[in-house]
Amino acid sequence: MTGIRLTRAEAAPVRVETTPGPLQARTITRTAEGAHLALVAGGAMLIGGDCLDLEIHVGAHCTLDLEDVGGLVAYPGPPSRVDVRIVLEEGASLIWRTHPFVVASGAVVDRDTAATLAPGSALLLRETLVLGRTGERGGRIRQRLHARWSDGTPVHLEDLDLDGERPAAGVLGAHRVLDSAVLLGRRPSEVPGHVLLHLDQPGAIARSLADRAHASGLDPLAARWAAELLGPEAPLG
Amino acid sequence: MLLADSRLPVGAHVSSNALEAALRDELSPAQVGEYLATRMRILVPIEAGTAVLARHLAQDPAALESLRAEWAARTPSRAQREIAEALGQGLARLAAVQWPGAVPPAERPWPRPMVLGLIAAATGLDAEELVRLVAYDDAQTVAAALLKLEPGDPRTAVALVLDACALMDPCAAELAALEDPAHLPCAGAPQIEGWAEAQSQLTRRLFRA
Repeated sequence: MTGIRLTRAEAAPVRVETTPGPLQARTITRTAEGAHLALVAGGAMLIGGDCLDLEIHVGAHCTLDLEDVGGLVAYPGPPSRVDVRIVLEEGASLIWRTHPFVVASGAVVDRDTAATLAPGSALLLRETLVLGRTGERGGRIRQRLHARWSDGTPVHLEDLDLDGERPAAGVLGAHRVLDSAVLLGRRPSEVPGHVLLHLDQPGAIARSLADRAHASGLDPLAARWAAELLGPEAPLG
Repeated sequence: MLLADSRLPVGAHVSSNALEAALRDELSPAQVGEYLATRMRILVPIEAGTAVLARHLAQDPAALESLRAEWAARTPSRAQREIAEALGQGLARLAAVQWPGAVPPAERPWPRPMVLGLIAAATGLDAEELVRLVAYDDAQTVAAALLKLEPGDPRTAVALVLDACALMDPCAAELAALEDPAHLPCAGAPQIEGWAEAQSQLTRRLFRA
């Protein structure tokens, strides 16, 4: 279990407590309001059968800007899992810029992200899911994102069931890359040139289907949403 | 059977279930069967499950509002939610004449699957039949739109609908047994959600959704 816990401290930079696991969090910068952390993999992963647990807790009115240092490749083998629990207290923000998650041919992965948002909190997830390494069609992934307010009201629930060997019209079609920016807890401004999914609860999703990573053009939009969350007065890192 | 008739004056003919946008994007007419299969696997369980739960919770206004929230959290496209509410409103208007009291008043229009469930509760339609009705309605909407967008043999369209409905049969009992809105399926189909949004922004279109 890898853990990250951010809490406000009086007249001092935020307190960052980390529990090292297969992933390790390194602090890059800290201010009174928030911290910028990098998430570093401690070894090769995901090897078939691996279970990766990550718990992120952002205390009231703290901002965590979290950045992956390397991408993850799920290698062929027995099923592996990635379990992420995110808890955002009142007024907390989490911005998580992940690197591409690659599901190699022959890999079977369950990737489960559950988020609980207290009033006034917000979550921005920047994710790129890639089916297959170069020349591969990709393995199987069941990717769940379940987000609820702390009173249980659902914000966004989605289970994606993908199999590179069985592309489905209407899911990813013929594409191998699903690039997304998911903002929960805030209504973002409209961005010309992007078709957004505006959720019923405050939140929006920008998505792009592509044939290779880094080709979708979502980065400027995600950067803008991140800037809206971080605010002009709190530049982190 | 009446509820699944597209000639019912509730406005369902305005929807192609995003087929129009899909065909303008990268879906070929030959892939419509595959498109229907994806809808049956991913979207129809949400809609049918919502209908089953509305039928089950018809007497409990607070539970119906929670169900609406669960449905909405599984329907990320605003265009999809808006058309579901518009069609729900049309159906609720019909219900007001045909089955007075079946659809309780609410601040926002109930989405179509919930109105179908509420009517099923009032008319004694059983849950499994309700699942099949929602499945048939979804497939028939696409097939009818296909005939207008890419005119072909209507008999082929009928075969597409029958094949799609057969895919739902094995899951009908499980969906019909749903009792807790939190257990509603929540599969997602990014491409269809994108098409639903794109459809609402098409400038020259035959269908609203």
